[in-house]
Amino acid sequence: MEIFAYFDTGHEFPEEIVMAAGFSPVKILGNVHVGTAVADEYLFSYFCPFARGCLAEALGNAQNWVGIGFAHGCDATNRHFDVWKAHVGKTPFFWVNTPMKVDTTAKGFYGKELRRFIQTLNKQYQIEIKDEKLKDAIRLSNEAKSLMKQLASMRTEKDISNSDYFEMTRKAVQTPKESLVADLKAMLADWKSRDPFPAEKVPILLTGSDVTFVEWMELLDIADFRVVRDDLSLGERYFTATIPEMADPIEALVAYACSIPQPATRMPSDSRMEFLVKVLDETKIDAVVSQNMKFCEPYALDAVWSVAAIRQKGYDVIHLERDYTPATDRQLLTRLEAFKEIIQQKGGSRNA
Amino acid sequence: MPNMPSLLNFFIKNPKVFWTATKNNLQQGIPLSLAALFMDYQKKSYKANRLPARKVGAFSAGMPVEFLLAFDIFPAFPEAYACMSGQAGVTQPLIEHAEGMGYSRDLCSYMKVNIGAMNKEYPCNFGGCPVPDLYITSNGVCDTQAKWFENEARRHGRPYFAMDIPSPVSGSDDAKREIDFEYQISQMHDLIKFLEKVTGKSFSEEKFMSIIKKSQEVCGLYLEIYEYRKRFPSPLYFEVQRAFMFPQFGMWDLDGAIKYYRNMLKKLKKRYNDGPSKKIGKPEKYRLMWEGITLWYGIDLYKDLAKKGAYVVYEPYTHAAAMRRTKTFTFDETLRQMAIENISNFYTLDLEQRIPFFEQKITEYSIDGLILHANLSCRPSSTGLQDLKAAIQKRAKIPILILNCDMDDPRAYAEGQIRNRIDSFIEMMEENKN
Repeated sequence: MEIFAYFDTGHEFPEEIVMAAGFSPVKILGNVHVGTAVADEYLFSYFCPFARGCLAEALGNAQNWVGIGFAHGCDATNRHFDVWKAHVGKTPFFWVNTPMKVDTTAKGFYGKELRRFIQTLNKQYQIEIKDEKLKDAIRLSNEAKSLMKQLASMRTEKDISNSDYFEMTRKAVQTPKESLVADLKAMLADWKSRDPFPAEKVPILLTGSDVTFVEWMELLDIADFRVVRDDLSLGERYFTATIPEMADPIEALVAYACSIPQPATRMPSDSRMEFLVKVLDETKIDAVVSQNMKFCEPYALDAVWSVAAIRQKGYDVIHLERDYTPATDRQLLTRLEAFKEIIQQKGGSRNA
Repeated sequence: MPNMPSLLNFFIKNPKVFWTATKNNLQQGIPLSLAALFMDYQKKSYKANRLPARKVGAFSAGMPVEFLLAFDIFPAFPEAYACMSGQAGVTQPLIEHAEGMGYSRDLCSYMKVNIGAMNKEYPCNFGGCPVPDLYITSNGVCDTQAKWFENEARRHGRPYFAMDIPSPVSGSDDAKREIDFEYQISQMHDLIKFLEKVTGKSFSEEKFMSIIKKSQEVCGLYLEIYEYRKRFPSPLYFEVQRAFMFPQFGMWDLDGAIKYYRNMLKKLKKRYNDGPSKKIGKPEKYRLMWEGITLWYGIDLYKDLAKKGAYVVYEPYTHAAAMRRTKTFTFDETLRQMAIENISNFYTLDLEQRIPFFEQKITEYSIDGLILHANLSCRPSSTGLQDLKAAIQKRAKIPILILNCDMDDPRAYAEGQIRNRIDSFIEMMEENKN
């Protein structure tokens, strides 16, 4: 199946439409092991390094993609779209202006925007995306989301490393959904047979910028923190809810997008906080790790109040600024280890 | 509770800051009549903060202020206050104060100046703002404005309305634009409902249209004056133009702004008695265009340029500030026009539209060189500058300088390095002329 790549700073892009068009949606995540020099020719070094990494990937791989979709994310996304369009070969480009808000007006707009996206795909590829195909794609997507939710819930009980969890979430956005479902089922059997949650590990909630490379999750493993809950797009935002099966599949996609926990690029941020509070109430965690990738402004703006709000609920929180690099950041590791000692001395935030 | 002190109280508490600001403000070369308007804004903001019956509404750039005025809400403009503070040269301690509150060094300096100044209870001319009764904002210029206001609304327990302005991208067609316009119009109706709820008053289309008539007149006058910048020599350079845009942009006193601009226009007509388009007279040695936000603290840079015969005579930033360009006569027509102007703004054009727009302005304003401000705390405005540079260099064949600075944070200004780059830029313009 041909690959339709998409650039999405959160979980906004409607993968199901691309699936219904007969393509395999693959989220562009960049390659942290490859430098961003080719992208830095067009984007300043003080821009989001993840976005630069994605452009670098597109400059190298676009010839293998049948199309490139862009979901409106943070405020620079539209100009990134322009830059990509100017430099990334002849691959057709598509812009989906996902709304910033989730109210009734925004829902109306998003529905029109999705219908426009379908029309553009139909025209570009001389196809007809029918409702039935879209409903099939939604069902398949939901099957994957449900399996992911089951898998993720095992993090509190079983020995599931952070990198294993990350790998599951990465696969979900980079593997054709048919084979993904089979892989997730196999993973479920494997995870069920794992040892119980290791006593030496500190269960945490991970929030902040999206983590897009496994090495950062490994850093948390090294520091003996175990991510048992999160609110990341390569994480729970992707599978916390399934897409409602409605008569009009477009309305279903709109309802879904407006009901899942919102990322830092959306406003107001109340629903984001509500989700964090819900997570903290339903799962026993010992601490919260909040991390901000360098130059990720949306979360840097949210962190000021969200970290304070979590603290107010009685949880210990560490807020870290991190780089986009696979190298182990020793300074961060030292801070994490010191934080772990504090938590362990207190016997966990909630049990202090 | 009023949070803004009088200037006298501020002076008593902060004499050093006051004198630094006074000294720096006197360096700006702003005409007294314009300075008087800013003092008037300060006075009115102070008064509005103390009148329990008068509501204060904070708005961000690009929001249709006329809706606030239609509800008799005083329009507080925190971004403008941050600019004034920048001119006064007092931003750094405020930025550092906000960073101490948890705001990252990489974030918008306007926001940090304002948050820092509010926390320290500074008056408007020093970056502060009365705690408003409500906030209205949008993501039209950047997400920061929307999130800044959201955070402040949360901090002060005030209602907040954000308008989602779709982002224009290269290759958008009319059908797409129509969806965006409709979305904007619907949100304006949502904004009216929000204001009705907060104020307990009903919206009057008639009153709104009378305000629109004035804002369109102010904007028309501003644009008529703007045209004179094409003349040799230009009557307004960036360092004054940046302040000159605020009476129409801030809309705190539309009648006062009309009077001020009419008077200015009358003087210009007398000075250039053959109209704005004819370029009779001696041109500046180097006429410059500046893309991006100005360096509010950087009057010395503009003075240095002037010493070398280089003057900034055109900026999309100040040109785009004129938001009511087209006269409208009915309510529905007005909302549609506002939607169009919000989305199709000179300052937020997509790359494919931006390149010919720049070419056109380079010709119209007889530009010899272009400065692109790669603004460390404004990433949306800095994205795409390399492409813009490459395209303009190829098409217009003029020297282009990219300056890496910050609009309100002097810590990002490396004076020696920038002077060297300016010298090379001037040499390139000279060579290009020859």
